[in-house]
Amino acid sequence: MTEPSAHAAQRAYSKDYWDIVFEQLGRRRLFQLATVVLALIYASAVYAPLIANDRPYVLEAVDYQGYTKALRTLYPAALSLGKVAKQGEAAYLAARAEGSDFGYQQAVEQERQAVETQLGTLARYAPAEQRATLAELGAATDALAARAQAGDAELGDDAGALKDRAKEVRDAFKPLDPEHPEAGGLALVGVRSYPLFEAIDAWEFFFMVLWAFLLTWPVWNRVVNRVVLGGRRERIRRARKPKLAFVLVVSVAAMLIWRGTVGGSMTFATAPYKDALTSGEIVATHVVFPPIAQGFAETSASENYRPPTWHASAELDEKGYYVRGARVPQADPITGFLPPSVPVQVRRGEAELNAGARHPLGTDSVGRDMLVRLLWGGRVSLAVGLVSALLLVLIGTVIGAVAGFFGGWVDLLISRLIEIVLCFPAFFLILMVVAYTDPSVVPPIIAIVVVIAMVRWTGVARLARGEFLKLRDQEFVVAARALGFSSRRTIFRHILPNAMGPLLVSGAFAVASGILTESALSFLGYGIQHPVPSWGSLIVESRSAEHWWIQVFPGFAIFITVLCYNLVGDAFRDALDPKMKKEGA
Amino acid sequence: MLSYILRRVLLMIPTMLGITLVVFCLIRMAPGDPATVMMGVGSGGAMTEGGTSVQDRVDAFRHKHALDRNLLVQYLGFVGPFNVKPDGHEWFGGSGKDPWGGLLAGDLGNELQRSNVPILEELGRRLGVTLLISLISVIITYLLSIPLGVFSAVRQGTRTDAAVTVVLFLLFSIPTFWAGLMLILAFGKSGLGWLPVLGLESKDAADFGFWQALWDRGLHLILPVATYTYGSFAYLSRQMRAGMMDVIRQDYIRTARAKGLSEKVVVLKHALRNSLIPVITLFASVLPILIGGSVVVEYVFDIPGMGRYAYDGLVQRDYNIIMATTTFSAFATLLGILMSDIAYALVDPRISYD
Repeated sequence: MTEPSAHAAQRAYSKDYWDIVFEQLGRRRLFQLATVVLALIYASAVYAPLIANDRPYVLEAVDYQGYTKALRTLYPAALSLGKVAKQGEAAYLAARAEGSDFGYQQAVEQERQAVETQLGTLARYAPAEQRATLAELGAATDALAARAQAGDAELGDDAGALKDRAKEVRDAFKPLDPEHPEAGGLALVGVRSYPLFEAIDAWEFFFMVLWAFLLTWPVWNRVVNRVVLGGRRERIRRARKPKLAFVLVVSVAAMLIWRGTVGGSMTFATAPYKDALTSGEIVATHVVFPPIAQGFAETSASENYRPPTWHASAELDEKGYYVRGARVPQADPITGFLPPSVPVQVRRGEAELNAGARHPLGTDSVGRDMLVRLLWGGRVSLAVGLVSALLLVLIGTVIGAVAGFFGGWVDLLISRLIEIVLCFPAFFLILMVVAYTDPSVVPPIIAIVVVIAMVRWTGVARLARGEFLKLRDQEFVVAARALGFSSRRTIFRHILPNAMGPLLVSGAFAVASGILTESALSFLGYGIQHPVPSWGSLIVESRSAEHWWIQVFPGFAIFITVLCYNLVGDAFRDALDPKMKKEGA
Repeated sequence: MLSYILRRVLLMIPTMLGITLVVFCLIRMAPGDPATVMMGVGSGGAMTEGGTSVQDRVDAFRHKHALDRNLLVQYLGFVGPFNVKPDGHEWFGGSGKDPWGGLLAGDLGNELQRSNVPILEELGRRLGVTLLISLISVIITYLLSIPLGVFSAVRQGTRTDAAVTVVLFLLFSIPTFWAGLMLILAFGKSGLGWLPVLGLESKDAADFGFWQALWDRGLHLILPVATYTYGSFAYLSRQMRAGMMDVIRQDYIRTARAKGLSEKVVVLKHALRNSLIPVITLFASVLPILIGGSVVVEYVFDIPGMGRYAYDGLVQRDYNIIMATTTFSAFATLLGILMSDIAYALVDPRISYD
């Protein structure tokens, strides 16, 4: 019974502006391809910490070094506490170093804490059933310290008992050496931690959640439209804004929850986990590394300028020496001296020495993996492009709108200003301002974004001005003014939505040009360098033709991104162009 | 017509003043006082005057370059026609030895590091290099893109047209500096080894005969010109195709076809002429690049042109060079806009002069 009414609704539905635009865009294969590629590029940037990181997702490990050190220190610490307790306050004060004002209470407390610290370390890794022993020892320690602080004089026996118990614990808690299990000992239990997630900031998590929504949009959008909205186009149209709001609210909520629970932040660009695991300082019972277990700032001195590992010139022998090319170790012809070289070390979690996936895009001057740096660098480049474009469209639209709407001398003044700014070679002007900005006062990334927007707004302003000049005498604007709406309301609620199309198109091109500008700036040495690289600054790592991989791959990433943005902008322009619509119909 | 041109030229004057004001303000607002910067260069080697103490030398430097005057006087010194330095016009307390200076007097000052090199002369030398490269590039661009644009507009909707469009799109999206690097990789010693990649001539070019030198220069120019050209070629071809498609839809083209004219005559005689108008006027927007050169391309190929000069000025923190090159290329752009408007008015009778 519901069928006929649904059909009636379908028939009564009149397409709105965005319906037509999306219909036009849907016909363009290249546009769809470009959108998908862009979504993936952005995903790789947003999820870079999850894809390429030198921190493991999960680490269940025993800090053997720390444990044995605690075990060694436990007995002396207990001994020392016993000594102070036995001594009593008067003797302590008489014996303490001259001029010291370290009181008896403090001294006891300090000794107590020393024992507790060792016990804490032991308890972290000891099996659960053994922890009771440690707790008992802890209780005894506390009791002794409390009595000493209360001024109890006769503590000699208790101190002796504590010492003996500490000795017992020391002998009983000898760890099982994983390399020599036959020697026996206590099988230690690893402590579970999540180093990678602990290094993810709340704002990073926000974008991760947001991007998860965007990537799965085709799926959940369809489900919501069919199931919740019953496939009715009127309702689907009305649901556009609530959907967007829902996605944003959920992402922000996720961010706040993350801040409250994990509260992660990356204090250091590199983490010691891989080195410690490789050298055996800590022993993992369970460890999960990300797909690419390399940090963006993780260096490897012996593996500098290594070509892509799938390439023949990167081949190493089992000792870690180059097999081909100029870097094969050569013995001195006269002395026969073979220069010692540090062989390449394969750290825990990394791919094999000659595996193609070890450094698919090679390494830079200090052995940092180029693929990883490319992934992380995308965050900077893409962000610069996007933010500068947003800012530029905003500035240009406001100024252009004011000029076009008010006309008269305001228009004259703004037009002159636009003309003056247009006269300068934009790139050099940006270069000049960025070069003169003190990086210690304004971070280069912010300087670049702001300067790009401040120099390049003129194009958008001219466009907006033209649109406003065209629209301001149309009936609906005249009607709005006749109704007594304020200028602001007329501009933003009535004219701007109708002028949005061309501005969006110029925004898409502005992102592309922002990425290009930033990379060119970095290439000339005035861009972003540390700690997270940008695509442009990656290319500058080497100008030598020997290191072709350093120049080829980051440039290619820029090229693909710019190409996609140009395709998207072009498709949008065609979709918004009334001439093309006539053709399509 | 003449009055139109005259009015346009008069309108340029406030814009020119605005340009000089912007350049002046940017440089003066920039952190790092020129005197302090010069102190750092070669341990103040460029500051030979004044007493023995650092402050004396800095003061002497500032006095000599009129940096101790108030901003208004400094701006006047930049625009001219008065020289406000100590040896300048008497009105500004100078000795009157060299009363004129500034832009209006054609004086751009000297370089700070090589203080005997007038910037104007150096600019002229650099302009020659840049003009050579960019003229060749512009000519090639037009020679290629007009036929290509017409071709793909006529073949609109075919596979050839689609292929051309895609290739142009790819070219259009390649970052300039990357294109230069890739060309160097491909054709330089590390790749095919066919072409020299740096500079404008070989090291031993001084011993070459005329033809050999010409050949050498030609070889050196191929890669920079290619890097200069591919982007504008892609852009112009797309414009040409769009313009041509606009024209082909017009009624008079239909009329021409209805008259029974051959497709060749319709396209080449009726359509091409009208579609050329926007493309020809685009030449004006090319002019500033023609004169200003591309910082990036000249940096990649190590060409001593205008763009490289501006970049060097930036690296050396030589405010005279920066001001001169920026003002110069801004004026060139202004001139380009003027020429484009005049050309438009000349070729398109529908444009009114009012």
